[in-house]
Amino acid sequence: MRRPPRRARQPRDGAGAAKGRGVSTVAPAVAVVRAPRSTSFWAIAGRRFLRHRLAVAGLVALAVVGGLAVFAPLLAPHGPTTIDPAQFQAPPSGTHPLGTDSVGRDVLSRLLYAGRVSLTVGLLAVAIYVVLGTVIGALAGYHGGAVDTVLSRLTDVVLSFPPLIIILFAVSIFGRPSLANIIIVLGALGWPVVGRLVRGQFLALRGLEFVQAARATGGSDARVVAHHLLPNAMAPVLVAATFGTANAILTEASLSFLGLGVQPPTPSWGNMLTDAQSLTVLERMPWLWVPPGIMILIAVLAINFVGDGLRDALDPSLRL
Amino acid sequence: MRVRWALVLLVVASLVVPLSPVRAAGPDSSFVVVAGMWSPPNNFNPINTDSSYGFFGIRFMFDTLVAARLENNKLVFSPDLAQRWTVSPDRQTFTFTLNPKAMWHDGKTVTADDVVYTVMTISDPKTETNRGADVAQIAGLDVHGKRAPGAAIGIRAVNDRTVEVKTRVPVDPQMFLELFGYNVYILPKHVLADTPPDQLSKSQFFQHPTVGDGPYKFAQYRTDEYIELAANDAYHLGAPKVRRVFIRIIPPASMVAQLQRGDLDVTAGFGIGEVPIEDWGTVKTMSNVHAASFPAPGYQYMLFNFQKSYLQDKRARQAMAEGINRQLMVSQLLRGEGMIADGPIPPANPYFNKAVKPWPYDVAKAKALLQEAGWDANRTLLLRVPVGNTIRERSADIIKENLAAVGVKTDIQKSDFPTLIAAAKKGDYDLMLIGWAGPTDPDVSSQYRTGGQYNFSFLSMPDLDKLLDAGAAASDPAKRKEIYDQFQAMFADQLPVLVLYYPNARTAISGRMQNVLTDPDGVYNFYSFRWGASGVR
Amino acid sequence: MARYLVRRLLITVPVLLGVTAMSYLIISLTPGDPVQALIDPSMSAADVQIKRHALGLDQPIYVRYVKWLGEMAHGNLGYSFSSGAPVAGRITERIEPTLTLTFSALVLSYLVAVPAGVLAATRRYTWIDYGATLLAFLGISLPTFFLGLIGIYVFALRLRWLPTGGTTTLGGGGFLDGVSHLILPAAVLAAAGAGALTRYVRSSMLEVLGQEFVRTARAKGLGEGVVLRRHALRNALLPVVTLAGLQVPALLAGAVITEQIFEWPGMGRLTIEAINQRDYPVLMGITLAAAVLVIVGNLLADVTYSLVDPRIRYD
Repeated sequence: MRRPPRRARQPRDGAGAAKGRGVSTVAPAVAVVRAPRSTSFWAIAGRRFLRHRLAVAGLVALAVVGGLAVFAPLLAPHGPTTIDPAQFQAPPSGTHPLGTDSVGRDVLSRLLYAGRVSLTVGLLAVAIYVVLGTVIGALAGYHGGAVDTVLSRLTDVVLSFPPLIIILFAVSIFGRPSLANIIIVLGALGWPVVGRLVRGQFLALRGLEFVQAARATGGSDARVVAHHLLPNAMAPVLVAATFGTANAILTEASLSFLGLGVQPPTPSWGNMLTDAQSLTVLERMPWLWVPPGIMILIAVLAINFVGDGLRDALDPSLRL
Repeated sequence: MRVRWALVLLVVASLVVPLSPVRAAGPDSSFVVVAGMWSPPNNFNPINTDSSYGFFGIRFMFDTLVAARLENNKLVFSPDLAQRWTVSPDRQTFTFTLNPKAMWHDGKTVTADDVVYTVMTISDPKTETNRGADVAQIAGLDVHGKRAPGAAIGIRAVNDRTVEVKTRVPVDPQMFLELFGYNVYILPKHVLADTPPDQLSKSQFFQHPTVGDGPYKFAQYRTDEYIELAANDAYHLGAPKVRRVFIRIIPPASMVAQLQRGDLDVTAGFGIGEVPIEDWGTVKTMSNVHAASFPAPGYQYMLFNFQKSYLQDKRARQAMAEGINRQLMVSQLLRGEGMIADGPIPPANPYFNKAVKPWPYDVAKAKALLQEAGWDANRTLLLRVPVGNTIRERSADIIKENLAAVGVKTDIQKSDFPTLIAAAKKGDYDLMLIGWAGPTDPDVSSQYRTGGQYNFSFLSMPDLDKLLDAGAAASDPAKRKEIYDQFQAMFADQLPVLVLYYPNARTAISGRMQNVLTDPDGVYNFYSFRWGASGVR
Repeated sequence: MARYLVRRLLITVPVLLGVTAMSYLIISLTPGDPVQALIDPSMSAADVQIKRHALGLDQPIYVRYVKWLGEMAHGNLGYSFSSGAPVAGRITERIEPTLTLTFSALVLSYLVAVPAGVLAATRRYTWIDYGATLLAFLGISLPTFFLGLIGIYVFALRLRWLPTGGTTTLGGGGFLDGVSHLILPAAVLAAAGAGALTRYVRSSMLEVLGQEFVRTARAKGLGEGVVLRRHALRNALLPVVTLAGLQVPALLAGAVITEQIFEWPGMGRLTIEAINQRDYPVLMGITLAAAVLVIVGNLLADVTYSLVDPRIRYD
């Protein structure tokens, strides 16, 4: 997004920002449980997060969905690709609790295994672009000047392509739309949003007193970035990453619809739903579309709620 | 505040209004028929459209010298632009006499000069065309259907109404009439003669072909939405009863809804406009729709890459034929709408060899054969599958499971069609799924002969080549039948490819339609001038 | 401002060059070529060679790119490999339906998102807030292709209120007919956008509500409704309005799927067709058009931002 530089804003809790940087950014909720009366930035954020009931519900739902995916081999009644020659598009029964799909495979088993694929796509793709975006954004924001100009224009170029279209191109280039390639492509093209966020934060923070103080006392560039700038820029990135994960899951589904998603017979929620793209199926074979539809819905909803909660907790004015 | 919001709304509305599609003409109360196909035509160039979608539209607007229909497994020709034709006893000279009533839509007569112009244009090495193979039999042209500058070629206008065509060597009349008489659409010389051949493909005429000679005139094409055609009352075979035809581009998933709503009268047919198999059962139960299905000339098959030594052993290929449950594909994926055969000549073709039986599904035998061939169970084959045909994509999943069960590991790679072909040309695959639908003539050299244009599997079997050459060269139908019987027997034994299934053509026709001929090419628009429709749309 | 605009426009030139060069590279790197993929029993080997030559495919990539740039400088985007029609024409005839669809979806998403977001913010952490949040995210959470199918099933097949697709009734139609064809695809496309937008409005509103001038207004004893409408809403909506420009690429991408499902003859479908046919000139035309749209969208966003927020000055 191109927005004028943020008006310099004090960190939400001036003292806390400096104190809080040592606290793990991974598990704010845990930090709260341990120190309920703590006034550190992360502790306050944790308490705010817990007030957001939908976010907490989302976290719980996410844990359940993740658990189902992780333990799929233990929970699935059949192999995800095993064909039952006698049962094609069969309704739910004792042997197949959620029925079978268009190729005679157990829907429940595929659903559980699909969770692994869909969640992996979401998490890994976002992990890649958060790293890329943070590095590029930090370089641009910290150095400013020519480096900033070049990197910002690069960001413009990447942002100038309609996302799905460029992803289609990129997936075609590989010639083989495998799971790894889809993750790489989504990761490689998603960084500009994070890049701009980090750059904006760096630009805003650079001029603040505590950063200038750190520099004045002889802190190296690396030290200033690692200890002062990065921790303070991480809040919006974390929020962006959550929304990004939900988005990546949906993008994989769209790619499946266009025939370029995760390769069969590997199930993903997206390609399971694509396989049900028929009005007759919609009307008469709900077991083919309700389960993957609900799983996508739950996962995406849950992740978005968590992201929403994180935003409210960390930086309520962040518009993502 | 209120006023300002109202203003905003007004501005918004005024922005939306002019952008919205508006057309003045109201629906005509005369008979209107809507045909539905999946994808848009790329253009209306009868010698250079690269898709069956294009030809579906062209066939309403342009005619060929003869018409053809498969009746009782035999291709039967009937008069079209040519009122009658004769074949010389040496099977080398064909004389076509044009119907004097045949006229272009601008009122000019269709003449022998138009026919000569069409052949001269196709054979010009500067013209972009995809009809070269259809004229390649004509004397004076090379085997690719191209002429050298200034060379005399074997076609001449005897007079305004008579064209004489000589072939290089004696040919099976049946073959020549199909390729030249039935596949080559005649172009209007008086409209196109001024356009240089290398500019022809960019000519505006092929975007708006207002001068055709078919039963319907071009009215308009709303890109990607529909083609509108109007009845040509001067049509030489009789004025069409249906006054207007719309060919609408409809995604497969919507077809069933449109049929049910009565928005759609006929699906375009085999491979270009069929109701998805999931919805076929629903269509069959509709009281206002006739669901027709019949054997079709196209088949789906699996290529073996002959560059790979382990696939050169015919036992490995036979084992896969036995290890893949093709019957399951037909009964479950196709819901019984199809059949299994082991050759590239369709069961509904006059040259089909009934004596050749397909390999039965037999897991134990498949395993034994693989062992005999010394198959390495750790080898993983790359199975390439193009996207776009749901049934074919599902069949790949079955193939993978079936082959795993007999001890052959595979990895499926889906991609779009151009990527697939690029990979095929590089030999970057082990197995590949693809479909084919060709002319009724049994010459399949382009796919299975050594070095053939569409031989994607680096296949080279000298014995097979000999039979293919003999079959193409023979001009006597009885002798050809004998050769192709042998060819099919050898094919089933050697399995240069594994034919998976022949899907039926499925067509849905609204109950209000009459005289729609269901044809092996799908409904295709044969004799569309005879279509009738009751009721008002 | 004028200087800023000139500078921005000058920067556009290298950005566009970068976009076209990158696109050309990407497109040519994509495996498969437009002629190779044509499989037609009637096409002879010579036909293939003639076509390759006519389309310039027998030349190296950089030669083709330089030629393309040269032609483009003269305003010629070339001819479609597949249809033979001029690329500029193919794109302009598609841009109108896409703009109609995306613009309607944009308007629709604002109509839903602004009230929902404002309500959620003013009733923070109540069931109204949760309800609005839930609805907003429901919109985002179903893949467009499936939402579209459900829409067709409910409104076109069962209720028969709306047509299944297309932009007009065949051969006929007036304004209302056009609108009835627009509703379903626009609503499906708007669903995703509205969700994100609701959240954006909510944050923006929350920020404004916490600021001094709102508190001052309240302290003056103004009614809550007046405070909201006169003070908070106006300030909160300004940044939201500028967001419209930034949503253009996202809407274009969303339209790829929506157009596919609803027979909508727009840029999204043209793109898919062009990719499938490896129609290089059309693909280049599309990326160029998209890039221009996005850049103009960005510029408009910045300019409106500075116009509505006097604190921002560009120079």
